[in-house]
Amino acid sequence: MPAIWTATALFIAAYCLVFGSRLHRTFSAMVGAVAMVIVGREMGFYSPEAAIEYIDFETIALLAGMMVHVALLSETGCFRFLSIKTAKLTGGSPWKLAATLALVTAFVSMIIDNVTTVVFIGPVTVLIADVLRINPVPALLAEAIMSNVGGVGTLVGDPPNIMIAHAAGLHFNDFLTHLFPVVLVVMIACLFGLRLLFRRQMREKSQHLETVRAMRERDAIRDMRALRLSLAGLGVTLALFLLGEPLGIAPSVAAMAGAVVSLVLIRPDPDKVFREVDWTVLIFFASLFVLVGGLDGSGVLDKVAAWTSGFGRNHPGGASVAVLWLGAVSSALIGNIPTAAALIPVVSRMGGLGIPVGPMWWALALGVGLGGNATPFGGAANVVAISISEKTKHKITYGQWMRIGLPVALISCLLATAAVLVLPW
Amino acid sequence: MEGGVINWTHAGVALAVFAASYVLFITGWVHRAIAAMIGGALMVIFGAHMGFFSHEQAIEAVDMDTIGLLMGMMILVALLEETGFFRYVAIRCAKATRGSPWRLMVIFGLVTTFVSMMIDNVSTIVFIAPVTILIAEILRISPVPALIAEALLSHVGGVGTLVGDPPNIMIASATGLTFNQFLVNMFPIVVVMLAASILLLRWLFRKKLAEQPQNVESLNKLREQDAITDRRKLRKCLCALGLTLVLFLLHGVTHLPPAACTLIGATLALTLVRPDPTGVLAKVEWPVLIFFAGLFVIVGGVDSAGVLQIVGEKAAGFAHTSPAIAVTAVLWISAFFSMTIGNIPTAASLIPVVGYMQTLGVETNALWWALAVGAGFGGSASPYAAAANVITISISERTKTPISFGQWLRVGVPITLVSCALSNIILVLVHLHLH
Repeated sequence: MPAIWTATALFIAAYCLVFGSRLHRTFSAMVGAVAMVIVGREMGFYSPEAAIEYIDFETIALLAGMMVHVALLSETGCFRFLSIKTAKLTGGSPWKLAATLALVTAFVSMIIDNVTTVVFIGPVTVLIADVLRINPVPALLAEAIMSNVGGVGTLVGDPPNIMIAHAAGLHFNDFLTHLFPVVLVVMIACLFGLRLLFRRQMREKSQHLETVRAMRERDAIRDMRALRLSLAGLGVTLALFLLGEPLGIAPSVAAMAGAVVSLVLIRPDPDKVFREVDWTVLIFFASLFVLVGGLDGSGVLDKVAAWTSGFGRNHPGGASVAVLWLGAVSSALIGNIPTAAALIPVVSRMGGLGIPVGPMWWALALGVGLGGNATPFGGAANVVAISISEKTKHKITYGQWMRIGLPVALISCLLATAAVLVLPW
Repeated sequence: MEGGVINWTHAGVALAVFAASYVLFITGWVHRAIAAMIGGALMVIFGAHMGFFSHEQAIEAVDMDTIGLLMGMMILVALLEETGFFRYVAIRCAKATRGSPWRLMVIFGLVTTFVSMMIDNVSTIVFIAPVTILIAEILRISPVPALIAEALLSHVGGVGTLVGDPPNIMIASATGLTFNQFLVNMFPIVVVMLAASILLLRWLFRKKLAEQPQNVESLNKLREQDAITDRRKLRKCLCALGLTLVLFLLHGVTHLPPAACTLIGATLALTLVRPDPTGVLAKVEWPVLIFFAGLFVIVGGVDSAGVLQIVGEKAAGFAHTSPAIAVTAVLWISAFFSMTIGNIPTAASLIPVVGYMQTLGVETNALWWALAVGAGFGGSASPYAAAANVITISISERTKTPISFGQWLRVGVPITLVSCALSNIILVLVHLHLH
């Protein structure tokens, strides 16, 4: 029991350090991770070796590989090309811009990972806003939020869905028929929610539309040869993403393999390319995984799981709703992957007790996916969006995130609850 | 893998990828970080497809202790460098030479040795070599003896401690040998080698060291106080570095792995100094860390295909017959590979082999030290054997007297041969005859 309280206290302290922005979140998370390992080791619930086990190198390697792709592509001027094109198409209206980009993000992140999507579309967004001289924050926030929503819609959209499908033996089409329609409704609701929350920023139309109209997107391409070669490398990665499963190639390996192809073909200075990778984000995630690992090692997650399972036994009717909200809250606090890892065995155990778990799996997927929007650290895409914004004049603050993300998460979880209660799953 | 049974198709594919990567390392057609990524990606793709190496195994194979330790040290060095600390040390040393070419070589060589016990060799050379050239230019003497001495002695110092050189870090991580065990076993060897190397250098450079220095008095115009850019930051960094060192030494009490000690120190430094996170992390040498990760994956694939176990079993049979020859063989094999493919790939491939020998009951204590010594000293022989040498040469190319390939070999090869032979004798005497 003391282990549980200590780990929880350390976790909360680390969270306060991360939120109280005196120390950068990466360093704060490192301090938290170091403290968790030292204290956990002293009390016997954690160790440096266990901490390394908890770091999800799959996610980190995937991100690093995709960031190399982005670094190479942005050198070629490809993102500038895309952003001038998009700026022209949307006619300088911030709302049209945010909505278009967010919808593209949502649909793309149904097929590939959320973070990957935001890693790519984020820099484009920043450039568009720069060209139009408008604030990129609404569009960036909308993208991160919609990528989390879109990811819930398919089996491959988000790691928790893959984990759930694996544990429950569900197929691609099961997700499509059950979750996809719900996700479409939630997406529309979120878009309107965002429109309402950003009504002030959405009103200011770009004053620079004429300048943008005069720009030639062709001129933005600095190095056509490098562009072709880096697109070839990206093509390898995308092909391996899609063909990877039958060949036994993990997404992280696919990302790395494609990045290697680009690096070998373009032959840039590796030092320069690797410096472009956002290491602050990667180290933040590694530290966060270590922190959550301590929480798990101390038995907190087991405790929560035991309570849920007890609740499910006593109230089989409300169990799905309970799983949904627990998943949402937990995913907002500790991230979606650890939450899914902790709650999947709980649902399986309830199934073993004879409680009908069919709807519970969908409730879990919805809760975990949608709840992550509530806080800046609920989803990996959120952190990436924030980190991208910090390189511009318009930084997304944690408070700003909560003001937008929390209401959106609440609306979408309420809608999901309605779906769980009404739909005949 | 059942003992001795091996799927030769798997082994062949793994060895082919391994060999191809090492060809890339030696020829340098692509940067070695990218070469390691190519090898790693191919190994996982083939391994996963053929079923001898999954990507989970690949992630397991990456030695996070080594990477964490290096990353922590790199963060500490990056912060310390900004304070002007290294420049300060170098100017102090310059004044202590009082203009003598011989003293310039010895003092700068010794400082390099001691600094490279704590900090990696390349960083040490990067800060000390430019100052050496500056001093030599003021005195109008040749910087070559001092520069070569620095590079060679950085290898000697690196062998002395757990954190001095990547092969030692890798050996410690694979075996659990502690900081103090390294100090006790390697430090005496390092002291002997230091004396031997300096005497040998004195003789090899006898003509250059006889040059008459000029402008000796202008050395006093250098002001070391001006080198320090930020005193408070310096104090904080040294505090964190001190904590790291204390944690290393207290391993017997705390049992913290070296990577944890370094990362605790680095976290403390980052918290105290609060630098721009993107800036400080950009100074970490990521290509080196990526090179390591790729290399671990490549060697992990070869290991997973069962090749290294076979080699280990064969070597174990051999070592049972004659321990002294086993020590000698490991030392010279690792020295030879270290001078051809570099010390890090050498350590990465030989550590699992010695590890298998250990599981088969061979007394490997002396073998680990032989590996550390061979991989470390082998790096001195040729200009391309170690990154520190390459840096020294490229820095010397900014002067009127760049170091040539032949010039390096004439000094590097004798020193390598003498230090390997001497440490071979010491290891055999101490470990096999005293016990």
